[in-house]
Amino acid sequence: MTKNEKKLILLSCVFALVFGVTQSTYAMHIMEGYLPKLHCVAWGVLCLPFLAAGIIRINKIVERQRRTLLLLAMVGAYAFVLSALKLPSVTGSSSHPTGTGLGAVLFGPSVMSVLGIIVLLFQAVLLAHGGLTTLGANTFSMAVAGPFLSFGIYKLFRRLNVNKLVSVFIATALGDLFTYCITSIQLALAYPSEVGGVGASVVKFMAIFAVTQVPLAVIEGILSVIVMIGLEKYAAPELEELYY
Amino acid sequence: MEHTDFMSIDYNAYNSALNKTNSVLKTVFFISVLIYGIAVDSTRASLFIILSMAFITVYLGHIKPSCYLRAMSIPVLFIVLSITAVAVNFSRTETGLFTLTLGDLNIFVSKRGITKSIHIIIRAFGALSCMYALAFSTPMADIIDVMRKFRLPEVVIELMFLIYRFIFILLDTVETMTRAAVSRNGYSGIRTSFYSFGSIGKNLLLYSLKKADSAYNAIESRGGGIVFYSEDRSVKATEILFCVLYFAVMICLS
Repeated sequence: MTKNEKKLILLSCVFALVFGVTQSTYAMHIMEGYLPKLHCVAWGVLCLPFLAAGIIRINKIVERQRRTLLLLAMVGAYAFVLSALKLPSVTGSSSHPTGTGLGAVLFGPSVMSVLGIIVLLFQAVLLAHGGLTTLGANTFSMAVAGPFLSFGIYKLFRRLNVNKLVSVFIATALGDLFTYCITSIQLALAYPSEVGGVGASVVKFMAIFAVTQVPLAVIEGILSVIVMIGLEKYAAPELEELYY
Repeated sequence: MEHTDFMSIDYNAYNSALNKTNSVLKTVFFISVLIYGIAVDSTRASLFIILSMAFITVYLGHIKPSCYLRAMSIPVLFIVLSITAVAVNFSRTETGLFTLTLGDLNIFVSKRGITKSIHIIIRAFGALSCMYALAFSTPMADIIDVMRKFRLPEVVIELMFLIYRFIFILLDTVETMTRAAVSRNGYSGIRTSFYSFGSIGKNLLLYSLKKADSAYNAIESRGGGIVFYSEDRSVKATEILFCVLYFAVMICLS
């Protein structure tokens, strides 16, 4: 064994230990204080039009049907609880990601961005996943970019007459992957690499977070499909109501 | 999923000795320290914030130190992963403090990378301890009430109040469902885990839709309209003095 091989083995052992021991898979919530000030403000401002559109839409829906406010609140609480649920025996203590993809498919993406920012705020304050100053960046990647992509892909696939469940799987899994790409870009923009700048940095962040995020995207897709099958079987009338 | 485990921050906020102080003062103070810490971006100020916020939360708020430390360890995975990406560099020509050569590619950690990483970690934990000071002293309902005073759209405030309440209803239900599934070997393997988890997810959504419906009926049968009560507590002169002194020290240090 050469010296380099030994180093390589040691390095991989360290990585295995880190991933094996630590529990949280909320790794993609950018933590409080991680982003420089300008980035916090910029990503927050970028979210505003989407949030405004969402609030206007919710106001319209609620005016027409007051009952929907409670329904939306329940869905928000549902997303929070689901994201905190543990899925044992998959990676020791893995966890379900945000579930915003399925939400976007069911309720439309702009409504989901408003629910998303509330859920992210609750996750930051109640569970310490994410943060207050990084709320803008997290909202953009998880509650704006992901849901809008999921929604777009779902609509496109349905128009192409792809099977509904296949569409749900691809839409939610890709939405999850897109969220992870956006977060990597956000981190890379904040901390460009010493050699190679932002481009090299994006590659580094994506490579490192791929370890947790790629399996999670597949899990998200599978679980969304299972939930969707159940809903179609048992709650067809409620689903009709949700489409508005 | 005990209160002391899963929702421990919320539980501690209600029991904090600082729960009785005015929530607007607390929120404005902690958030402005948080923003100041990130805006000036100085390691000395951040170190001061880490220590002083630990003092405020643990000593003034009577939060158990073990509980505080456990909360501090939550973002460790994120820090480890993202700092690795910041500190480690790849290049064909350059080398750094520690270099690993694979073929003609150098994987290295430079001195600048290390300094930068330490700087980011300290700033992040400074900001984190501000957020914890707020979360460990002010229950979510009070924070939402402060946002209402700052004139956020009413529909968002209503949604937040409702979501906060519904979270606890759903958590109870999830706990029961999970226990039922576990006691029937529902989580014994990967296949069954996925099946059980998906079923719980589906049933929970159905259950929450039903609950939302009955909550609506309950509200309507009582005349409609949702009122959220809050308690206003007066601000003491000593508290304002404390905040002013705190800022004076912090500005001097940075």
